[in-house]
Amino acid sequence: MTRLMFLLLLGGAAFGGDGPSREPALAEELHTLGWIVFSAQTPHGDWDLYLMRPDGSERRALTDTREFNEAGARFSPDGKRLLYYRMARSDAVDNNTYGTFDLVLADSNGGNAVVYGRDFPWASWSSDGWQLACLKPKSIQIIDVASRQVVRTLARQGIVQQLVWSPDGKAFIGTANGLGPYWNIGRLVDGAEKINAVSETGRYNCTPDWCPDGRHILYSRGIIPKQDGRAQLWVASGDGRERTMLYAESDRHIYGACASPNAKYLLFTRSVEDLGAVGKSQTTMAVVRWADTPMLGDENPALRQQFPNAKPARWLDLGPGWEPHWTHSEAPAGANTATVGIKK
Amino acid sequence: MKRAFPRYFANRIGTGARPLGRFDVRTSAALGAFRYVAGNKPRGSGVNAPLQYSGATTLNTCKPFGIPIRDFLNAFGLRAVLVLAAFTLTSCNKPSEVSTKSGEDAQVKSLGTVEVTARLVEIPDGAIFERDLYDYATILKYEVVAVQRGAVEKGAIIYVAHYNPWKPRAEAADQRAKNIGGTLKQFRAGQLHRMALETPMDDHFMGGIVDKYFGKHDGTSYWAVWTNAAD
Repeated sequence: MTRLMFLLLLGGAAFGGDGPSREPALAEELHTLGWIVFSAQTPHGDWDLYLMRPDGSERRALTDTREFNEAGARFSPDGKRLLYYRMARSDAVDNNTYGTFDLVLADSNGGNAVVYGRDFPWASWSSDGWQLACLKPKSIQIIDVASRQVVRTLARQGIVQQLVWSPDGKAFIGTANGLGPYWNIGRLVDGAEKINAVSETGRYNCTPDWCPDGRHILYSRGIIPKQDGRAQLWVASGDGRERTMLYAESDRHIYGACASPNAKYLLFTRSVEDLGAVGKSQTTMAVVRWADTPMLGDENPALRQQFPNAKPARWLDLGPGWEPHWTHSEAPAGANTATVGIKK
Repeated sequence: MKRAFPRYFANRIGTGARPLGRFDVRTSAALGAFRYVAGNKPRGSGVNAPLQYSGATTLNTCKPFGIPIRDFLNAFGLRAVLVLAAFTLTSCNKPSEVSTKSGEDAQVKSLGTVEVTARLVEIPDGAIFERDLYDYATILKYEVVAVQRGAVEKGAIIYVAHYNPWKPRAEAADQRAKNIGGTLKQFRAGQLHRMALETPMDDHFMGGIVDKYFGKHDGTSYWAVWTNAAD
C-alpha cells in the first residue's frame, strides 16, 4: 500500500494538474475530438511523449526511453504519423533548442519509430505529409520523407527556430532575427523576396503556429526587456497588420499554442518560470474555447486595465506537459507499443 | 566616433588591477609600473600617474637584488633606477601565449575569414544582459583600427555579433556556438579587440540576436569567432 502511494505521488509529476480548473461542459465537448500528444517529465526524471484526449482523459505513454528525452512532437496533417526530437537524457529539454537534436519519425501511436538523425533540424510536415521542411544554417530545405533527399531549398531569411510550414504549403513561419531589435515571428511566403514581421517587433516573441485557415498565426507575445510581464497568447494575420490578444495571465507565461483542427479551441502551455529550459518551469497545459477569447486566465487589475473587454477565465487544466499538438484522427489510439528498440 | 577615445581611457582607469605585463613601456611610467607589478593600483588619476607615488615606504617594499630601493637609489642614482625598470620590463613580463600588446595568438590568426583590430565604440543600453533563459548574440559596433586579414578597410565601422556577451569569451562556447573563444573577459566601451570574424553571420549562428542598431545600419554583420583583448 505504501509503495502504491509512493508511485501515485511520483506519477503526479506527469499526470497531475496545478489546481483544478474544471469546465465540465467544455470537457464533455472535447472528449471525442481526437488526441493530443505532448512531452512530460516521467517519475524517473527523463522526458517521454504522452497521448491524451483533449479533455485530459485517457493519458498514456507513447515512448518509454529512460536514456533519452523526447520532445517537440507534431502529428502529420492526416494524424497517422508523428515527428519528434530525441536527445540524450543529459541534454536539457529547452524551448529554444529541442529541434536541433535527432529527428524521429513514427506512426502516430508510437510504433515503427525511425531515427532520421541530426540533419533535419526544426522539421515541419508538408500538407500531404510526404515532405518535411527543415531549418538549416544556410537555408530552409524541403526533404522527401521516403528518400531523405533534399528536393529544393530556399533562403531562411533570418528564421532561426520553431519553423512551421503552412497548411496550404505556401508559406513558412518561425522565430526570426532581423525584423527588429529582438527576435520576432516572421512569415516567409514561398517565392517572396522578403520575410515580413507578424508580431510587434519591440519585444521578444516565439512559438508560432499556423491556424487551420492558413492565414492567421498564433504566437507567444513575450516580454519587453527590463520590464516586468508575462508572455501572452496572441493571434495575428499573416501580414502582421491585425494582432489580437487571445489569452493572458498575470503569473503564467503562455507558450506553445496550437489550435484544434476545427479551429474552435486553443491549446497552450502555462509556465510559472519563463522558458527556455522546461525542467524547472512548472509548465502545465490548458485548453479554452476560441469563442471565449480574449480571456484573462486570472483577474489582475493591471491586465484588466490593459484588456478591459477580456472575458473571465473558463479554461480546462490538462496537467503537466509541454509543446502539445492536436489531431482529430483516431489513429494514435491504435495498439500502442511503446518506442523501444527503434530502428536506425 | 571621437567620443570613444576619452571613454576608452576612462575605462582603462576604472578597470582595476591589470594583468601582469600589461603596462605601457614609458619611461615616465616605469617607476609606477614597478608598483603595478606588485599588484598595487596607482593612486593617481590615470595610467601615467604612478609617478605620484606615495613615498619611500611603498618604494622600500621593493628590494632589487635584495637591497632596499632607497639605498639602491642613493648608491646608483636615477640612471640605475631607469636601468632597473627596463630590466624589470624585459625580464618579468613574459606574456605566455597571447601577445597582450596586440591580442595576437594562434587562434585569432587562423580562425575565421576576417581578422581585425577594432575599437568597441559603445555598448548600447540593454545590449548585454545576463539571462540564463536565453542564449543570444548581441550586435556591437566597432571602428576598425587595423586589418590583418580580409576585405575590410581601416577606419570602417563594422557590426559584430558576440555570443552570450555577458560571459568571458573563454567560457562562451557551447553546443549552439562551438569553437568561439578568446582572452577578453568583459566587454567595455572603448576597448581594443583583436578579432577573428566570419561572414555571413547567418551561416555560423542560428539563435536569437539582440540588435540595438536595428534600422540604423545596413550590410554585413560579422560573427565573432575569436575575441582577444588588444590594449
